[in-house]
Order: sequence, then C-alpha cells, then structure tokens
Amino acid sequence: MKSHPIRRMKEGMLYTLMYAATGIILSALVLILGYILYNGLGKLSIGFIFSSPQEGGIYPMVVTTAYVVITAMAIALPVGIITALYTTEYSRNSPGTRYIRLAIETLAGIPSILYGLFGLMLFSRVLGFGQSIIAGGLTLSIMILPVIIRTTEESLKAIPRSFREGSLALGTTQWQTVYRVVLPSALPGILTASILSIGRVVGEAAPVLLTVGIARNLPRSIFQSGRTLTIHLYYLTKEAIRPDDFEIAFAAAAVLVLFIIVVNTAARYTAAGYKKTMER
Amino acid sequence: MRNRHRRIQIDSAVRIIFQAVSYLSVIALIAMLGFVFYQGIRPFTAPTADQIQIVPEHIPQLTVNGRMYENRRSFIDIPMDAEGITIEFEHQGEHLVVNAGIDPSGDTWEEIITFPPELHQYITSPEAYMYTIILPSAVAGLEQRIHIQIPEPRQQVSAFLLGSEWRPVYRKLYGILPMIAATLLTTAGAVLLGVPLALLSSVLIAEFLGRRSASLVRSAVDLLAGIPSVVYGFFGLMMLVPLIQRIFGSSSGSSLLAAVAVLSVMILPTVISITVTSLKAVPAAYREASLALGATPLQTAWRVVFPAARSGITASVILGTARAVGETMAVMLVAGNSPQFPSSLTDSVRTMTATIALEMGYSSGRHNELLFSIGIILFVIIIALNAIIMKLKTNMQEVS
Repeated sequence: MKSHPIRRMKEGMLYTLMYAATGIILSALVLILGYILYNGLGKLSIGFIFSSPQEGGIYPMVVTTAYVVITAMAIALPVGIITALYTTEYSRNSPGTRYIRLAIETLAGIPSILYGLFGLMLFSRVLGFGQSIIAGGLTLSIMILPVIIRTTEESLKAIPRSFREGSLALGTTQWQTVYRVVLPSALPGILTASILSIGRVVGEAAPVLLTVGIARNLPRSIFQSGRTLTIHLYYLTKEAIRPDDFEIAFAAAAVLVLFIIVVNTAARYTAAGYKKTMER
Repeated sequence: MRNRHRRIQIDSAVRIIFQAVSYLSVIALIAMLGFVFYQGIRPFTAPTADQIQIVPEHIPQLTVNGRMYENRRSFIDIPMDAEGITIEFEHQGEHLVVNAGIDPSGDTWEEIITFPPELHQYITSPEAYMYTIILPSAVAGLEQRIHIQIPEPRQQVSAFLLGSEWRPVYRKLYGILPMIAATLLTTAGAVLLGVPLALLSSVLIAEFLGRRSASLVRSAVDLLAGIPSVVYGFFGLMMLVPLIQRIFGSSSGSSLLAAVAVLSVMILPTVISITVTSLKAVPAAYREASLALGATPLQTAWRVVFPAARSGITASVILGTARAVGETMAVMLVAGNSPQFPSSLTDSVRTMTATIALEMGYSSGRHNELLFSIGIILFVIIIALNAIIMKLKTNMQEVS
C-alpha cells in the first residue's frame, strides 16, 4: 500500500517545520554567542580582568562577583546538602518532608526580582547589613537552594539501596552510613550542584542590583557594597557615553559568556561521571 | 559498649540537627511571603502619617499654634484634627502670621488644606501633598521657607490596580495598569512565539534524533538556559533594537517587540527541557502499538506520544510563562521602560518587574512601599501558575 501523496506532502512539511524550528533555536544560540565573542574577544586579556575601571578593566567587579559567590555558596551548600540528605535518607514520606518539598518547589519558581525585594527588606533593612556583599550573598543563597537540593537529591536517589543495606547490616548507625557510604558516592552529584549554582549566582543581576548595590570600588570586606560583573555590564550599556564603554561592555559580556560555557561543560562532565559510576 | 552508646547519641543528635536545618527552606519561603506582603499591604491600610508636618527653613524662631520653636531643623507635627494652622514669625523685621485651614475629610490634597488668597503668590510649585511657602529675601539663597507636608491618605486598591498613570514622585499617582498590560503583552507574545518553536523542536529531539545529535541539541539548549539575562538584554540592545529601529523607522528601537523577541528565546530552554523529559516518559508500548497499527513514525509522535505527554507539556508551557513574567534585566534593557499603554508593537513599555528594579534605588515612603505591592501581584501570579502545575502533577500521578 502506497501512502497518499497529499499525506506524504503534509508529513514532509511537518518534518521540515520541526527541523526548521530546531535550526532557528540553534542559530539563535550561535548568533548570540558568536556576536558577543566576536565583538568582545578582541579587548579581552589578562590585563583587562586584573586592572581597575579607571584603567579600563574590571578587577573590582570580578572580586565582588567572587565574594558574592563564596558567601552564597558557604551558606547554601551545607544547608542544601543537609536538606537533601534529610528528605531522601532520613524521612522520605513524612508530612514534614512534603512541606519541605512544596517549599522548595515554590522557591524554585519565584522570580529573582522577588528574592531581591525580600533580601533588601530582611538583610539590608531589618538586619541592618545595608547594601552589601553579605546581604546579596544571603539573598542568593536562598535562591540557589532549590538547585542544590534537587541536584543532590537526584544523585542520592541514584545510589543503589544495596550500598546502604550493606553498611547498615554491618551494625553501623544511620549517620555512619550516610557519612561514610552515601555522601562519598554522592560527591560527583554535589559537585554538579555546586557548579550549576555558581553559574546561576554569577549570572544573576536583578536581586544583586537591589541588595549588593552599584559601588565601583574594590570591596575591602563582605560588609561593603560592590558591583558584580552583571551589574557592571548593565550600567555600562545604560550609561555608555564613550565608544570605549561599549568595547568594555562587550568584553565584560564575553567574560560572562565564556564563564557560562566553562560552567556548563564542567557540569556535563561531572554529571556524566556520576551516572557512569552508578551504572557500574 | 560505651562506645556504641555514644554512636547512637551522635546519630540521634545528627538526625535532629538535619531536621531543623531542612525546615530552613520552609521558613525562608514563609519569611519571603511575610515580608513582601507586610510591606506591600501597608499603603492600603493606613495613611502615611497622622500629622501634617511643617519644616521651617532660615526661620530662627517661630510660633506654631501657640507653641514656640527655636532653631527647629526637624518636623513640627500638627495633628490632623487641629482646627487650623497658625504660624507666626519675623520676616524682614515685620511680624507675619500665616493661617491655613485643615479639612481632614477632603477628598483631594488641595481640599485637605486651604490657604487665604493673599498667600497664594508665595506658594510656589505645589507638588502633590506638599506646599512650599517662599518669602522673598534681599540675599538670594537665604529666602525664608516653610514646607508643609500633608500625609497621603490610604491608597485605594482600585486606583492602584486600574489607574493608568504612574507618576510616583511629583503627582503621587500610582496606577499600575500600564505595567500589568506590559507584563501580560510581553509574556503573551513570548509564549506565542517561543512555545511553537520549542514544541516542534522537542518532538524532534525526543522522537526522531539519534542519541548523539539529540544530546548535542540538548547541550545547546542547556547553554541557552545558562546565558545570564543581562547578556540577553545586552545582545538585544546592541543587535535587535537597532534592527527594529531600521526596519520600522521608529525613533527608538527599544520596544514591546524587542522585549517579546528576547523573552521568546529566553523561555525556550524551560519549555524544551520539560517537554522532552515528559515525551521520553511516555511508555514505549504506546509507540509500538501505534506503529503496529500501521501509523507512520510522524503520526505516532504527534497523535499518540504528544497527547499522552499532555500534562507534562502543559506544565512546561506554564513554567515558561512564569519565567517570562518574572524576567527583569533583559526586558529592562530592551523595552524602553515608559510607563504607558503601547499602541503598537514598536512602542516602549515597562513591565512590573522592571518598575521594581528601576525605582527601588531612589524611591522612598509610600512610593517605595508600593513597589512591594507590585511584588505582591507578581507573587500572586507566580503562585497561581505554580498551583496549576501542582494540580497537573497530581493528575499525572493518578494516570500512571
């Protein structure tokens, strides 16, 4: 039985549409990355990253971004890992766990600007940190909690039950099993979670604008205001007067893009790593 | 034996600590809702103050309603239920008396406080809820001034949601309807443009592409998800905005159209990754049965697998919508940010999120609180969208 020519044509059109859509999406990515790297790589150099804005560099912004990342991770990583351990290892289906899951799901869907409002209110005003790196780090730590918890949970769930049963059968307590058996096997997953959330923190702008501020100086401590790379890029484009400013903006955007490419590649490798270990 | 006892003690201590730490995310969510709601509801419950406030400038000594103040730098408070205000002071050697009447039930700020006609020439550029009386002086810059600040009344919910003018600084008009419209329009445009692309591509990735090319496309989509929103905005501003300006010949390319274009790319990764996952979750038996009945692979994909994954796909579209509603920086850079109703695709618009980010830095008082009220509206939209997804998930669990 030969298929009807009209139907064949329809099918051909649908195939074309699907390939065209995928083609458009891929070319959007290539266009964005290509445009920014093409215009930004020329200016990019080690000197650009390590010199002050007065000399046309971005050093204070790199330092501020690093401080924000370190603060946020130092808070979110332990809390996230512990939460994931609790919801998978200790209490999988209790009512309390259901509330925790619901809270995490909801937190994951809240737009970043609302985190900014909350951080400004609680950390900057009520707790009196003002606009500072610590206020931003605390705010972002809540924002990346869902990423860390979910990714860690996934890697915990991939660990075979026999690992835990084998350990418990030897007479260990649950904490010993978690600490000596479960956590080491989940390390690649935790690494993936950390890499993904570092990428998220570096790329975030709206809550940072509200909580960290826009000071251009090199921050001396985490209790001072600063300007992250993303905010610097925003202000450069908004206030660009000299043609130089656009050049610097392109280079800053290229730094961000390169960083995200590195983060994504690293996350893929670590994720592939833990999947392979589990299959063995 | 003692050692074992200690181990068990540690074990239960760890358990308690873990439980406590785990609840931090619940506490964070509740605190977030609490703080934003508390601050955002205040403008609708009470006036900004219970008193009229008077600030003298270059007046060393003055008497207000019978009380004398010397070298006063801060506010002099007059309760709203006072019958009037009488200010006496020395001006160029003369004894001056300024009288004003108070009517706390007045509807507009011009009705709340009234001045005698002979004073009108000295009242300069009255702003909403704020009068400044300036008396001439021989030396410029040393004019005697009296600022009178009337408290803003309770904000009406309807005036906030349905008001079409946002002039928060001088006229104290806080209508956010143009911003709501802008958010709805940019989101709707992004969904209309982005979702068909994403769905077509997802079916290709999940059902037709081989393992290697599927993983290649998916890693490209992941990368698209990782690009910071500021970079999207920057790209839009440098590339799309001039393009739109040239094609449509508008004065500025920053427009609704630019925002829609940028947002439609930004929601792609969300929609694609969840749709692909839910298409992959459809049991192989569905495909086999359909193919065994003589359906082509294309018919199987679109008529059998796609409908079977319906709730997952709906969830992906809703999550994409939520992403578009909440996006701030990218939209702020390309949309032009005029708080007005757009009459065409090339008009400048300002979304709710952009309003918060743009004005938080310099706003104060009621204006600042109302930015939190905009936050409440965003919260309500996002929580409603989340609730639909939760419902879909329970449906999905019942089906499988």
